[in-house]
Amino acid sequence: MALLFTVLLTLSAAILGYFLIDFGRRDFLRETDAAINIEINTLSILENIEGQLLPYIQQRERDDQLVRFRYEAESGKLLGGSIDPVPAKIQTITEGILGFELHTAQGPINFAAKIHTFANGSRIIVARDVHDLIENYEQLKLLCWLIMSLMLVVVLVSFGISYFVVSRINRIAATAKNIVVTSDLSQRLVIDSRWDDLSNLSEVLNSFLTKIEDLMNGAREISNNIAHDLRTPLSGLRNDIEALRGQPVSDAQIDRLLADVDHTLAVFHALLRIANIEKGTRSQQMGEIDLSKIIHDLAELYEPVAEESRIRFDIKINPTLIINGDSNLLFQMFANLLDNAIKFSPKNSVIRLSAGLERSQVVALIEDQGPGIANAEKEKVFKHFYRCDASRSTPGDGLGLSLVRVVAEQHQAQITLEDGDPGLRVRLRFQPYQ
Amino acid sequence: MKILIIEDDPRIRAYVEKGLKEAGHAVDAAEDGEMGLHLACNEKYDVLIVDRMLPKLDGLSIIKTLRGSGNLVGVLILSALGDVDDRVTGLRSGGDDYLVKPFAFVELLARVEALGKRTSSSPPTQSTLLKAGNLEMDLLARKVRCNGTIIELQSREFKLLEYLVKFKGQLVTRTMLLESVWDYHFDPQTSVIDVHISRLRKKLGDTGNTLIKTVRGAGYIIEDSL
Repeated sequence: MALLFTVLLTLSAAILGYFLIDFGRRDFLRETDAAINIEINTLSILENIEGQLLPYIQQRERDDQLVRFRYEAESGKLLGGSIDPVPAKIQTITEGILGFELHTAQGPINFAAKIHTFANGSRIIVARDVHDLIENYEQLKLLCWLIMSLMLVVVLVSFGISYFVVSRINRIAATAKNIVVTSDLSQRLVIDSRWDDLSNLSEVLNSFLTKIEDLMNGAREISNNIAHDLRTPLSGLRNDIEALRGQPVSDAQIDRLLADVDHTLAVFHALLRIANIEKGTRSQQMGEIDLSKIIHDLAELYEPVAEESRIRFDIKINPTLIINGDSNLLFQMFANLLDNAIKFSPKNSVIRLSAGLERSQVVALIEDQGPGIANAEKEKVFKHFYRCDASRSTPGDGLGLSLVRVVAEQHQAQITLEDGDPGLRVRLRFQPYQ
Repeated sequence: MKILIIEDDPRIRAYVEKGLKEAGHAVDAAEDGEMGLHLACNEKYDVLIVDRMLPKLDGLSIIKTLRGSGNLVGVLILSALGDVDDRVTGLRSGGDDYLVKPFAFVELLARVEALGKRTSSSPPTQSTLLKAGNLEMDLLARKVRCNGTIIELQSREFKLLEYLVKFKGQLVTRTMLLESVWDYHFDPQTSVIDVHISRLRKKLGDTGNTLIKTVRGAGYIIEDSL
């Protein structure tokens, strides 16, 4: 491809150069021919008038340094004009036009000439100094060669660039193909320069690969966790069922087995739910809702639960806080957060629920007086199945906060975990309602 | 009650059929959509249990066809599609209730019975005075009287009690209470409903759990005999 392009470009440069030179040559000949013809016309007229021709020739040669004549009889005897003798070397430039050198005050100079024969047999040679014209023509020719060589340089450079680009693209393709064949996402494109667009593209593609690799690793980690997290209850269940062999089975035992199965099903359900929300397929349930009502309803639902551990709610919520959202999902999200807060709060403590407007954004806070979350763990707690050391002994499946995060993401809400004094402060910042 | 189950999975069909028969209901079963629609049109049922994804004719089309011909039978949709969106489309197509697979049989039974009651004792005779044993509820004045004394209840507690009394003699599951009393679809991580019930019992002076009975692993019931 690059080669074809180069050949075509070279060819067009050559054709252009040839035509320029050819046109220059023709133009030079035409101009000379025309000038000589004018002289001959004048001479033909004067030749008819007795005694006019010779004085005119002398006059003309004196006036115009560029014109020379030789008027001779049929026998070749010189009658007038300054060309004498006839130059020894005469060449034919083109049909009817001759070329030769004459000695002048400036040394030998090129002349172009035409021979005209009058009716009585006498001839006149009209010559014109073409020194300047030839010089112009030579300049033009030089210019043409210059243009052609410049074009050649352009051709070579573009051949180089296209070769470079094509080889780069081929290299990118080869790496991509290798990744597809080997399924090894840890491979990266080689970047050996910084200045060109292709290196830029390679860099973008590399970050793209990194992102995919991270996602794949995440997915792998999740499935490992699922396998691990579900194997424990399932093997427990298996042991329990095995122990029942050959024994009368009581309802209480069946209830316990069912509870184990239900726990496993609940984990799957939670995972599917998180995956569905992540997919964003539920967005059609989004609408204008009042966050204040949701938090009030939630507080009302959980208040007796909190009271059992002698935990008190301190509620400070603006009467109406309109946001765009899915009320069921938001209720679930706040329920998970509040459930955590209750779980980790010491007895006789207070959980503060507040929500209000901050620079046209709805901000909700849930503050407990529990142990809080260490800075190193703040990002990890949102991962699937992650349990802090402090929470290993409490009931839960490690998916509560994962769900909180996907719901928050779907609502484009910003969630931050802050250190309370003491305890944990969860801050949710929602998009302003339009 | 006479119940028709349209479900293509033979295991679930047999399991539900057996359970409902043991609970004292007459059950017909259909294994595909066409057969189900044929039965539903030609026999009179109290409740239909319809799977969404069926061979030959899907569940939602059956329901739409029935509703289009003016059939108001109670329909419970049974489906593996458990998203809120799926639920909404199911209910918009004319379903009365929606249960997601996998399900506990008690949950299905409670919902089917509630549905049968809702459609049989329907609108005109709806009374504003509910009774269960010594308990009286005036829905208009929003007053509760137990053993002759007036009991002050918060509005949510009133709704909770109202739901239980309305379906007295029938098991009411925790999810049913969450959906109808609190009006949110969500999975509580802890047994929030239990705490509300025990509070309600305390206010009603129901110390021995004789009025609102707990059904282990299922939910609550107010006995009809009271």
